[in-house]
Amino acid sequence: MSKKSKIIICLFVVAAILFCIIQFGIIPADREKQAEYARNQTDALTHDITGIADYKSPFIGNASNIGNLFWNLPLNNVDMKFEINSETCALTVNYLDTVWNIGEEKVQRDLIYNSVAAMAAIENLSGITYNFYGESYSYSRKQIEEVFGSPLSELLDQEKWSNEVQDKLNSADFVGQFFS
Amino acid sequence: MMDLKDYVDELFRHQHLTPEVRDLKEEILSNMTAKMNDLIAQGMEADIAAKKAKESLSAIDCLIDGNQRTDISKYRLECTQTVLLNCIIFWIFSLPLLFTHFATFSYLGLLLTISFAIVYLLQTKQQTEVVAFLSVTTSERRKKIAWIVWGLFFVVCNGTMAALTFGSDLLSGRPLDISGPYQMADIAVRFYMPLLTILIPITFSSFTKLLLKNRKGE
Repeated sequence: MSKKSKIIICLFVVAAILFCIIQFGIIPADREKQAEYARNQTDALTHDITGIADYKSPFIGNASNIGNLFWNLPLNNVDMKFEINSETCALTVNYLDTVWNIGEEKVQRDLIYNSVAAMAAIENLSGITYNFYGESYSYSRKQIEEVFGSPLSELLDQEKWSNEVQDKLNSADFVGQFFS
Repeated sequence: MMDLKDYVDELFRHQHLTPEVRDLKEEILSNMTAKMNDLIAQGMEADIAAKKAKESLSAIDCLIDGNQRTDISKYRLECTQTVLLNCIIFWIFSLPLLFTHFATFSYLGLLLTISFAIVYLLQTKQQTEVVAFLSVTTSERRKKIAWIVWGLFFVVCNGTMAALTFGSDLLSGRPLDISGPYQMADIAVRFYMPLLTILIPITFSSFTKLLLKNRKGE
Protein backbone atom coordinates (compact mmCIF):
# COMPACT_ATOMS: atom_id res chain seq x y z
CA MET A 1 0.00 0.00 0.00
CA SER A 2 1.43 3.38 -1.00
CA LYS A 3 2.15 6.17 1.47
CA LYS A 4 -0.62 8.26 -0.10
CA SER A 5 -3.17 5.46 0.38
CA LYS A 6 -2.22 5.22 4.05
CA ILE A 7 -2.67 8.99 4.45
CA ILE A 8 -6.10 8.74 2.74
CA ILE A 9 -7.23 5.95 5.05
CA CYS A 10 -6.00 7.81 8.17
CA LEU A 11 -7.67 11.07 7.13
CA PHE A 12 -10.89 9.26 6.22
CA VAL A 13 -11.01 7.58 9.64
CA VAL A 14 -10.33 10.91 11.40
CA ALA A 15 -13.00 12.66 9.31
CA ALA A 16 -15.56 9.90 9.89
CA ILE A 17 -14.95 9.93 13.66
CA LEU A 18 -15.19 13.73 13.86
CA PHE A 19 -18.31 13.73 11.68
CA CYS A 20 -20.03 11.12 13.89
CA ILE A 21 -19.07 12.95 17.10
CA ILE A 22 -20.45 16.25 15.77
CA GLN A 23 -23.48 14.92 13.89
CA PHE A 24 -24.66 12.31 16.40
CA GLY A 25 -23.21 13.67 19.66
CA ILE A 26 -22.64 17.40 19.91
CA ILE A 27 -25.44 18.66 17.63
CA PRO A 28 -28.30 16.59 19.18
CA ALA A 29 -27.07 17.54 22.68
CA ASP A 30 -26.95 21.19 21.65
CA ARG A 31 -30.45 21.01 20.16
CA GLU A 32 -31.78 19.37 23.31
CA LYS A 33 -30.17 22.14 25.37
CA GLN A 34 -31.75 24.79 23.16
CA ALA A 35 -35.16 23.08 23.35
CA GLU A 36 -34.88 22.90 27.13
CA TYR A 37 -33.90 26.58 27.28
CA ALA A 38 -36.88 27.46 25.06
CA ARG A 39 -39.19 25.40 27.32
CA ASN A 40 -37.76 27.13 30.39
CA GLN A 41 -38.36 30.51 28.79
CA THR A 42 -42.12 29.85 28.69
CA ASP A 43 -42.46 29.69 32.48
CA ALA A 44 -41.88 32.35 35.14
CA LEU A 45 -40.14 29.97 37.55
CA THR A 46 -37.49 28.86 35.05
CA HIS A 47 -37.21 31.93 32.80
CA ASP A 48 -33.75 33.45 32.23
CA ILE A 49 -34.18 37.22 32.58
CA THR A 50 -30.91 37.99 30.73
CA GLY A 51 -32.75 37.00 27.53
CA ILE A 52 -34.58 40.35 27.51
CA ALA A 53 -31.45 42.52 27.93
CA ASP A 54 -31.53 43.55 24.25
CA TYR A 55 -35.05 44.97 24.57
CA LYS A 56 -34.48 47.47 27.35
CA SER A 57 -35.74 50.88 26.31
CA PRO A 58 -36.57 54.19 27.99
CA PHE A 59 -39.74 54.59 25.88
CA ILE A 60 -42.74 52.46 25.03
CA GLY A 61 -43.18 53.81 21.47
CA ASN A 62 -41.18 51.11 19.62
CA ALA A 63 -43.79 48.46 18.70
CA SER A 64 -41.27 45.98 17.38
CA ASN A 65 -39.28 46.20 20.62
CA ILE A 66 -42.45 45.52 22.63
CA GLY A 67 -43.19 42.49 20.43
CA ASN A 68 -39.66 41.12 20.81
CA LEU A 69 -39.76 41.69 24.56
CA PHE A 70 -42.99 39.74 25.07
CA TRP A 71 -41.92 36.95 22.68
CA ASN A 72 -38.98 36.47 25.06
CA LEU A 73 -41.04 36.40 28.24
CA PRO A 74 -43.17 33.60 29.75
CA LEU A 75 -46.43 32.79 27.90
CA ASN A 76 -44.48 33.28 24.64
CA ASN A 77 -45.92 29.96 23.48
CA VAL A 78 -49.39 31.61 23.31
CA ASP A 79 -50.25 33.75 20.27
CA MET A 80 -50.62 37.41 21.17
CA LYS A 81 -51.29 40.87 19.76
CA PHE A 82 -50.31 44.26 21.13
CA GLU A 83 -51.94 47.67 21.44
CA ILE A 84 -49.87 50.65 22.58
CA ASN A 85 -51.49 53.78 23.94
CA SER A 86 -48.76 56.37 23.47
CA GLU A 87 -50.73 59.07 25.30
CA THR A 88 -51.04 57.16 28.56
CA CYS A 89 -47.90 55.03 27.91
CA ALA A 90 -50.01 51.95 28.59
CA LEU A 91 -49.82 48.60 26.87
CA THR A 92 -52.52 46.02 26.12
CA VAL A 93 -51.51 42.45 25.40
CA ASN A 94 -54.25 40.32 23.85
CA TYR A 95 -53.51 36.61 24.32
CA LEU A 96 -55.43 34.51 21.80
CA ASP A 97 -56.35 31.75 24.25
CA THR A 98 -58.35 31.14 27.40
CA VAL A 99 -56.97 31.15 30.95
CA TRP A 100 -58.55 27.73 31.46
CA ASN A 101 -56.57 26.28 28.54
CA ILE A 102 -53.23 27.53 29.83
CA GLY A 103 -53.89 26.93 33.53
CA GLU A 104 -55.02 29.61 35.99
CA GLU A 105 -52.10 29.26 38.42
CA LYS A 106 -49.50 29.50 35.63
CA VAL A 107 -51.26 32.47 34.00
CA GLN A 108 -51.37 34.40 37.27
CA ARG A 109 -47.70 33.76 38.06
CA ASP A 110 -46.55 34.52 34.51
CA LEU A 111 -48.59 37.73 34.28
CA ILE A 112 -46.97 39.14 37.42
CA TYR A 113 -43.55 38.09 36.14
CA ASN A 114 -44.18 39.66 32.73
CA SER A 115 -45.48 42.88 34.28
CA VAL A 116 -42.40 43.32 36.48
CA ALA A 117 -40.06 42.43 33.59
CA ALA A 118 -41.77 44.75 31.10
CA MET A 119 -41.94 47.68 33.52
CA ALA A 120 -38.30 47.14 34.50
CA ALA A 121 -37.22 47.00 30.85
CA ILE A 122 -39.36 49.89 29.56
CA GLU A 123 -38.95 52.85 31.82
CA ASN A 124 -42.05 54.89 30.89
CA LEU A 125 -44.50 51.96 30.73
CA SER A 126 -47.30 53.08 33.06
CA GLY A 127 -49.48 49.99 33.07
CA ILE A 128 -50.38 46.76 31.32
CA THR A 129 -53.71 45.13 30.54
CA TYR A 130 -53.76 41.46 29.63
CA ASN A 131 -56.81 40.19 27.75
CA PHE A 132 -57.64 36.53 27.36
CA TYR A 133 -60.84 35.13 25.86
CA GLY A 134 -63.34 35.90 28.64
CA GLU A 135 -60.82 37.25 31.18
CA SER A 136 -58.88 40.46 31.67
CA TYR A 137 -56.21 41.61 34.14
CA SER A 138 -54.65 45.06 34.63
CA TYR A 139 -51.57 46.18 36.56
CA SER A 140 -50.27 49.69 37.03
CA ARG A 141 -46.62 50.58 37.62
CA LYS A 142 -47.56 51.94 41.02
CA GLN A 143 -49.17 48.65 42.04
CA ILE A 144 -46.12 46.65 40.95
CA GLU A 145 -43.62 49.06 42.55
CA GLU A 146 -45.47 48.87 45.88
CA VAL A 147 -44.65 45.17 46.05
CA PHE A 148 -41.28 44.92 44.29
CA GLY A 149 -39.78 48.33 45.14
CA SER A 150 -38.59 51.20 43.01
CA PRO A 151 -36.92 51.64 40.58
CA LEU A 152 -37.88 48.34 38.95
CA SER A 153 -35.01 48.57 36.45
CA GLU A 154 -32.57 47.72 39.27
CA LEU A 155 -34.16 44.28 39.54
CA LEU A 156 -32.84 43.24 36.11
CA ASP A 157 -29.58 41.92 37.57
CA GLN A 158 -29.84 38.12 37.33
CA GLU A 159 -29.15 37.33 40.99
CA LYS A 160 -31.36 40.12 42.29
CA TRP A 161 -34.10 39.09 39.89
CA SER A 162 -33.92 35.51 41.03
CA ASN A 163 -34.06 36.43 44.73
CA GLU A 164 -36.55 39.27 44.66
CA VAL A 165 -38.91 38.24 41.87
CA GLN A 166 -38.61 34.64 40.71
CA ASP A 167 -38.33 32.99 44.15
CA LYS A 168 -41.25 34.98 45.52
CA LEU A 169 -43.48 33.83 42.65
CA ASN A 170 -43.10 30.27 43.96
CA SER A 171 -45.53 31.22 46.72
CA ALA A 172 -49.20 31.00 45.78
CA ASP A 173 -50.03 33.49 48.57
CA PHE A 174 -47.61 36.04 47.16
CA VAL A 175 -49.13 35.72 43.68
CA GLY A 176 -52.64 35.68 45.12
CA GLN A 177 -52.31 39.23 46.52
CA PHE A 178 -52.48 40.57 42.94
CA PHE A 179 -55.70 38.72 42.20
CA SER A 180 -57.69 39.18 45.38
CA MET B 1 -5.62 17.78 -52.10
CA MET B 2 -8.82 18.37 -50.09
CA ASP B 3 -8.69 14.75 -49.03
CA LEU B 4 -5.21 15.26 -47.53
CA LYS B 5 -6.26 18.50 -45.87
CA ASP B 6 -9.22 16.78 -44.19
CA TYR B 7 -6.91 14.01 -43.03
CA VAL B 8 -4.44 16.47 -41.49
CA ASP B 9 -7.31 18.43 -39.91
CA GLU B 10 -8.51 15.18 -38.35
CA LEU B 11 -5.00 14.47 -37.02
CA PHE B 12 -4.94 17.86 -35.30
CA ARG B 13 -8.57 17.74 -34.15
CA HIS B 14 -7.69 17.44 -30.43
CA GLN B 15 -4.74 19.83 -30.48
CA HIS B 16 -4.81 23.38 -29.22
CA LEU B 17 -3.77 25.42 -32.26
CA THR B 18 -0.90 27.52 -30.99
CA PRO B 19 1.20 29.31 -33.67
CA GLU B 20 3.81 26.51 -33.39
CA VAL B 21 1.20 23.76 -33.83
CA ARG B 22 -0.32 25.64 -36.78
CA ASP B 23 3.12 25.84 -38.42
CA LEU B 24 3.63 22.13 -37.84
CA LYS B 25 0.22 21.39 -39.35
CA GLU B 26 1.02 23.38 -42.48
CA GLU B 27 4.41 21.73 -42.76
CA ILE B 28 2.89 18.25 -42.51
CA LEU B 29 0.25 19.08 -45.12
CA SER B 30 2.84 20.45 -47.52
CA ASN B 31 5.12 17.40 -47.00
CA MET B 32 2.22 15.03 -47.62
CA THR B 33 1.15 16.94 -50.71
CA ALA B 34 4.74 16.86 -52.02
CA LYS B 35 4.96 13.12 -51.36
CA MET B 36 1.65 12.50 -53.12
CA ASN B 37 2.71 14.59 -56.15
CA ASP B 38 6.03 12.76 -56.23
CA LEU B 39 4.27 9.38 -56.29
CA ILE B 40 1.87 10.56 -59.00
CA ALA B 41 4.88 11.76 -61.03
CA GLN B 42 6.33 8.25 -60.71
CA GLY B 43 3.18 6.92 -62.40
CA MET B 44 1.04 5.99 -59.40
CA GLU B 45 -2.72 6.66 -59.52
CA ALA B 46 -3.86 9.71 -57.51
CA ASP B 47 -6.06 7.72 -55.05
CA ILE B 48 -3.31 5.25 -54.23
CA ALA B 49 -0.69 8.04 -53.97
CA ALA B 50 -2.92 9.92 -51.48
CA LYS B 51 -3.40 6.73 -49.46
CA LYS B 52 0.37 6.12 -49.38
CA ALA B 53 1.00 9.73 -48.33
CA LYS B 54 -1.51 9.36 -45.47
CA GLU B 55 0.05 6.10 -44.32
CA SER B 56 3.39 7.88 -43.93
CA LEU B 57 1.99 9.71 -40.88
CA SER B 58 -0.75 8.14 -38.76
CA ALA B 59 -0.31 10.17 -35.55
CA ILE B 60 1.19 13.54 -34.70
CA ASP B 61 1.27 13.37 -30.88
CA CYS B 62 4.99 12.58 -30.81
CA LEU B 63 5.75 15.58 -33.03
CA ILE B 64 4.21 18.21 -30.80
CA ASP B 65 6.38 19.97 -28.25
CA GLY B 66 5.12 19.47 -24.70
CA ASN B 67 3.62 16.05 -25.34
CA GLN B 68 5.00 13.13 -23.40
CA ARG B 69 4.52 9.39 -23.45
CA THR B 70 2.50 8.65 -20.33
CA ASP B 71 1.29 5.57 -18.50
CA ILE B 72 -2.33 6.71 -18.76
CA SER B 73 -3.95 4.08 -16.54
CA LYS B 74 -1.51 4.80 -13.70
CA TYR B 75 -1.83 8.56 -14.24
CA ARG B 76 -5.64 8.42 -14.11
CA LEU B 77 -5.59 6.22 -11.02
CA GLU B 78 -3.27 8.64 -9.24
CA CYS B 79 -5.45 11.59 -10.32
CA THR B 80 -8.52 9.91 -8.82
CA GLN B 81 -6.52 9.18 -5.67
CA THR B 82 -5.54 12.86 -5.44
CA VAL B 83 -9.14 13.97 -5.95
CA LEU B 84 -10.21 11.54 -3.22
CA LEU B 85 -7.55 12.90 -0.85
CA ASN B 86 -8.62 16.49 -1.54
CA CYS B 87 -12.31 15.56 -1.06
CA ILE B 88 -11.47 14.15 2.38
CA ILE B 89 -9.51 17.33 3.23
CA PHE B 90 -12.51 19.42 2.05
CA TRP B 91 -14.80 17.25 4.18
CA ILE B 92 -12.61 17.67 7.29
CA PHE B 93 -12.35 21.45 6.88
CA SER B 94 -16.10 21.72 6.23
CA LEU B 95 -16.99 19.89 9.47
CA PRO B 96 -17.26 23.15 11.51
CA LEU B 97 -19.99 24.20 9.06
CA LEU B 98 -22.23 21.49 10.59
CA PHE B 99 -22.85 23.95 13.43
CA THR B 100 -24.05 26.64 11.02
CA HIS B 101 -26.76 27.13 8.40
CA PHE B 102 -24.27 25.90 5.79
CA ALA B 103 -24.14 22.26 6.96
CA THR B 104 -25.00 21.21 3.37
CA PHE B 105 -21.37 21.90 2.40
CA SER B 106 -20.18 19.33 4.90
CA TYR B 107 -22.69 16.75 3.64
CA LEU B 108 -21.45 17.56 0.12
CA GLY B 109 -17.90 16.80 1.31
CA LEU B 110 -19.07 13.43 2.64
CA LEU B 111 -20.94 12.65 -0.61
CA LEU B 112 -17.92 13.57 -2.77
CA THR B 113 -15.61 11.48 -0.59
CA ILE B 114 -17.84 8.41 -0.86
CA SER B 115 -18.31 8.89 -4.63
CA PHE B 116 -14.58 9.23 -5.38
CA ALA B 117 -13.71 6.36 -3.00
CA ILE B 118 -16.03 4.12 -5.06
CA VAL B 119 -14.55 5.40 -8.35
CA TYR B 120 -11.01 4.82 -7.02
CA LEU B 121 -11.77 1.28 -5.86
CA LEU B 122 -13.33 0.45 -9.23
CA GLN B 123 -10.30 1.88 -11.05
CA THR B 124 -7.81 -0.15 -9.00
CA LYS B 125 -9.58 -3.33 -10.17
CA GLN B 126 -9.24 -2.41 -13.86
CA GLN B 127 -5.49 -1.98 -14.04
CA THR B 128 -4.23 -2.52 -17.58
CA GLU B 129 -1.22 -0.58 -18.80
CA VAL B 130 -2.13 1.90 -21.51
CA VAL B 131 0.56 4.21 -22.85
CA ALA B 132 -0.26 7.29 -24.89
CA PHE B 133 0.86 10.86 -25.47
CA LEU B 134 -0.54 13.50 -23.12
CA SER B 135 0.15 17.20 -23.33
CA VAL B 136 2.07 18.71 -20.43
CA THR B 137 1.48 22.15 -21.97
CA THR B 138 -2.29 21.63 -21.86
CA SER B 139 -2.08 20.43 -18.29
CA GLU B 140 -0.02 23.51 -17.34
CA ARG B 141 -2.57 25.71 -19.11
CA ARG B 142 -5.47 24.08 -17.24
CA LYS B 143 -3.62 24.63 -13.96
CA LYS B 144 -3.08 28.30 -14.79
CA ILE B 145 -6.73 28.79 -15.80
CA ALA B 146 -7.91 27.02 -12.61
CA TRP B 147 -5.84 29.40 -10.44
CA ILE B 148 -7.00 32.49 -12.37
CA VAL B 149 -10.69 31.47 -12.20
CA TRP B 150 -10.40 30.60 -8.52
CA GLY B 151 -8.56 33.87 -7.78
CA LEU B 152 -11.29 35.89 -9.48
CA PHE B 153 -14.03 33.88 -7.76
CA PHE B 154 -12.38 34.38 -4.36
CA VAL B 155 -11.86 38.11 -4.81
CA VAL B 156 -15.40 38.71 -6.14
CA CYS B 157 -17.01 36.48 -3.53
CA ASN B 158 -15.19 37.88 -0.52
CA GLY B 159 -15.27 41.43 -1.89
CA THR B 160 -19.06 41.24 -2.27
CA MET B 161 -19.36 39.69 1.17
CA ALA B 162 -17.20 42.42 2.72
CA ALA B 163 -19.23 45.12 0.96
CA LEU B 164 -22.54 43.62 2.12
CA THR B 165 -21.34 43.03 5.68
CA PHE B 166 -19.28 46.14 6.41
CA GLY B 167 -20.18 48.50 3.55
CA SER B 168 -22.84 50.59 5.27
CA ASP B 169 -20.72 50.98 8.43
CA LEU B 170 -17.62 51.98 6.43
CA LEU B 171 -19.51 54.42 4.17
CA SER B 172 -21.19 56.17 7.07
CA GLY B 173 -17.96 56.23 9.11
CA ARG B 174 -19.41 54.15 11.95
CA PRO B 175 -17.24 51.64 13.81
CA LEU B 176 -17.83 48.03 12.69
CA ASP B 177 -20.81 46.56 14.54
CA ILE B 178 -19.98 43.01 15.66
CA SER B 179 -22.15 42.42 18.68
CA GLY B 180 -20.76 39.17 20.03
CA PRO B 181 -19.02 35.85 19.39
CA TYR B 182 -22.06 34.40 17.56
CA GLN B 183 -22.13 37.25 15.03
CA MET B 184 -18.33 37.11 14.75
CA ALA B 185 -18.53 33.38 13.92
CA ASP B 186 -21.36 34.02 11.46
CA ILE B 187 -19.26 36.60 9.58
CA ALA B 188 -16.14 34.41 9.68
CA VAL B 189 -18.06 31.46 8.16
CA ARG B 190 -19.13 33.58 5.17
CA PHE B 191 -15.49 34.37 4.39
CA TYR B 192 -14.30 30.85 5.21
CA MET B 193 -16.54 29.00 2.73
CA PRO B 194 -15.05 30.49 -0.49
CA LEU B 195 -11.58 29.73 0.92
CA LEU B 196 -12.43 26.00 0.98
CA THR B 197 -12.70 26.02 -2.82
CA ILE B 198 -8.91 26.56 -3.01
CA LEU B 199 -8.73 22.76 -3.14
CA ILE B 200 -9.95 22.94 -6.77
CA PRO B 201 -6.88 24.74 -8.23
CA ILE B 202 -4.65 22.72 -5.87
CA THR B 203 -6.10 19.55 -7.42
CA PHE B 204 -5.37 20.84 -10.95
CA SER B 205 -1.78 21.63 -9.89
CA SER B 206 -1.42 18.08 -8.59
CA PHE B 207 -2.59 16.70 -11.97
CA THR B 208 0.34 18.43 -13.69
CA LYS B 209 2.83 17.02 -11.18
CA LEU B 210 1.35 13.56 -11.59
CA LEU B 211 1.58 13.83 -15.37
CA LEU B 212 5.30 14.55 -15.17
CA LYS B 213 5.73 11.76 -12.62
CA ASN B 214 4.08 9.23 -14.93
CA ARG B 215 6.33 9.96 -17.95
CA LYS B 216 7.06 6.75 -19.78
CA GLY B 217 10.43 6.41 -21.51
CA GLU B 218 10.68 5.70 -25.31
